[in-house]
Amino acid sequence: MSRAMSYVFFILFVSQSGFALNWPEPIKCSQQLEKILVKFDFVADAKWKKTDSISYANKAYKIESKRIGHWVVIETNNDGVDLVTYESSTKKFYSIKNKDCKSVEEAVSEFKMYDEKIDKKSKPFTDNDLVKLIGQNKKGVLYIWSPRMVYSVNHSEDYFQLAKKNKFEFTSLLANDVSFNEADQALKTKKQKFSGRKLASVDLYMRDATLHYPTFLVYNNGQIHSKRIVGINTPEDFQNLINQYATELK
Amino acid sequence: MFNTKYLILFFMLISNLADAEQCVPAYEYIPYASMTKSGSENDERTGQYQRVSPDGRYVLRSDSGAHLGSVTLLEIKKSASKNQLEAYAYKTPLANEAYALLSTFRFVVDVSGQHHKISDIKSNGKNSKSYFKAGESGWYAASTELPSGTDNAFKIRSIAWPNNNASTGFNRGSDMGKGILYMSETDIIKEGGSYKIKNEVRYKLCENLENSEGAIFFQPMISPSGQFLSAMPTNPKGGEPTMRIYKILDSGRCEKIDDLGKVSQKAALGLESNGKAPPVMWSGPILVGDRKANSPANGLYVRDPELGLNFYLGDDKKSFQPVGFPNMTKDGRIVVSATWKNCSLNAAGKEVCSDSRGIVRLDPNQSADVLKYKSKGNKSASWFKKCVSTVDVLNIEKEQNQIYGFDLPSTVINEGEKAAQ
Repeated sequence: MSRAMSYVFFILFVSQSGFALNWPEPIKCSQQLEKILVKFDFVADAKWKKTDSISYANKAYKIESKRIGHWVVIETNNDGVDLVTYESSTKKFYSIKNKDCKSVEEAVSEFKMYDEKIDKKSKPFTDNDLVKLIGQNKKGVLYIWSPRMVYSVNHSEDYFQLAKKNKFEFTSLLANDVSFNEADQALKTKKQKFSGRKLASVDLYMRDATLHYPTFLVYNNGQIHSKRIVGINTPEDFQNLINQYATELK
Repeated sequence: MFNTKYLILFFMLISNLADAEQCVPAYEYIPYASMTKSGSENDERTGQYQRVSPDGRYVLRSDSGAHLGSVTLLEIKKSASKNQLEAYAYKTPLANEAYALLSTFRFVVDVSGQHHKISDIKSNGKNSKSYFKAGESGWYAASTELPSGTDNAFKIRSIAWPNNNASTGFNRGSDMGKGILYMSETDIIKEGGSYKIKNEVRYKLCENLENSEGAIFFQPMISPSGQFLSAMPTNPKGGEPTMRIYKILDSGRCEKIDDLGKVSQKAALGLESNGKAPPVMWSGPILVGDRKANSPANGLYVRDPELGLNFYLGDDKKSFQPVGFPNMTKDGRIVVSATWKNCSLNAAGKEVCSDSRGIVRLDPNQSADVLKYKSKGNKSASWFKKCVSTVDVLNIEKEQNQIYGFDLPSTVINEGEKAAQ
């Protein structure tokens, strides 16, 4: 098959699969990257979001796909692009050099939010659990907390009550980087016992749910709102925000 | 007869050694003094919320686990027995997300607005007294002392969010209110050995930006100079809620001067020089990085707003992971609580690693990314220098000792001080 024919087939395949991606900056080897990403089903108006890179000379961006837990991250510099795909617990790493657009290296690894063998007491909340939760088409709030951020412990009951009052489901998740014991010790100071679940969802991690605690994410009609609510808010502001975000997901 | 070439090399070597002596270590890894073998005690105490003194010797830490709600003061000093730096903990009467006058640490502050002295905490721990109550109190409070203050007269600029409005707070005795940032400016004078409020004015902060940024800001932090604010607007018009830097103008008005273009953890601000915007620091996820990384990893970053560049401050050797919020000292070092790897070769010649926790103190000027940038002859940042020198550190320590009211230099090991456990 000639190179031209291959290209036509590729374009046809791409157009039939609905693949459409606006790169955040000019990418020399974009076609090679698109071949890798062709199985990802991005939403029509999906936008790349800036994230941290490991050098001043690099730029990094991430983008979500329609499927929970499936994300793509790129880090670009003058030499080329490193691309990482997250498919929940499967992480694939590719490196494409600008000089020939061909030297693709691949590494596949299992990606875990925490080691479930070490912290056996905490029940993990995975991407599958997230799919089930938001798939019920109800409106709800995910509350991500950490015993290392005192207000996220002190006010969990307040926000639970506010969510209930507004007819939102409320799911409390422990941060992935603390142990069951640390959480339990913190709750004991409030005369409570930890029986909840621990964040093991790659999707929530990619949605920046673990940058600060508490972080709230609102879901409705099978979708999660892209904006987070971060930190303690007044009852009035909290209720306004969750209702606004839920309405925007209709 | 010496060969001239060797003579030149000899002098270069001597010169380099002299330079090396003047620079502080690029990275200092300082374990908690009370670290047990299992590390469990300190695991539980680790908190994310912390403030660092201008000389990098003290860290005010909000504790976790069984000590949730309590705040400890960590002092970094050499241990007598191990001759190495360790972080010693003192109990304090402060609670929750206590804070400090960032630029001086003349006082550390309880969320109620009560001001305490470090010297008193070191002597009396939980029983240390409050000298006065002033400034903003509430969620996410932060404060600093404006320049040119003395112990007899100084001005505090403090912010908090939300603030006093009993009608809308949680119905549990709280006096929290509307979700707008407030700022107070408080003049304190010392009369007859007591500190008194001479004057206090209060403003809504950044209200002039409501049309573009919205009314609510998440994750606010004030700069040590009191002239800048970092915060993330909840609902900016026509844009994503990203971390932004504002210059604080008169009467609480603000001007946006930088946008990280991304969400981030709380972004701490360093000291500005020559009127330029201060460097910004945060820790954030490394999503590409090591191709074989199989769990979340965090990196530490510093941004220069003038250059519009973010520098990565990782150390490949120790792979440290920031746990808390970073702060910059007056001499230009960055201090953050972290975990790191201690690796060594075992008898069989195999590398064995263990995890440690404590404080990492680093000089951004000596980080690989900043060195790489400098080596290309790029435009300089206001905070760039060859390195933070030991003389810089000693000078700031000397200044700080006067502010704290200490007579002893930090290198003196006081065996009488017992780590609060």
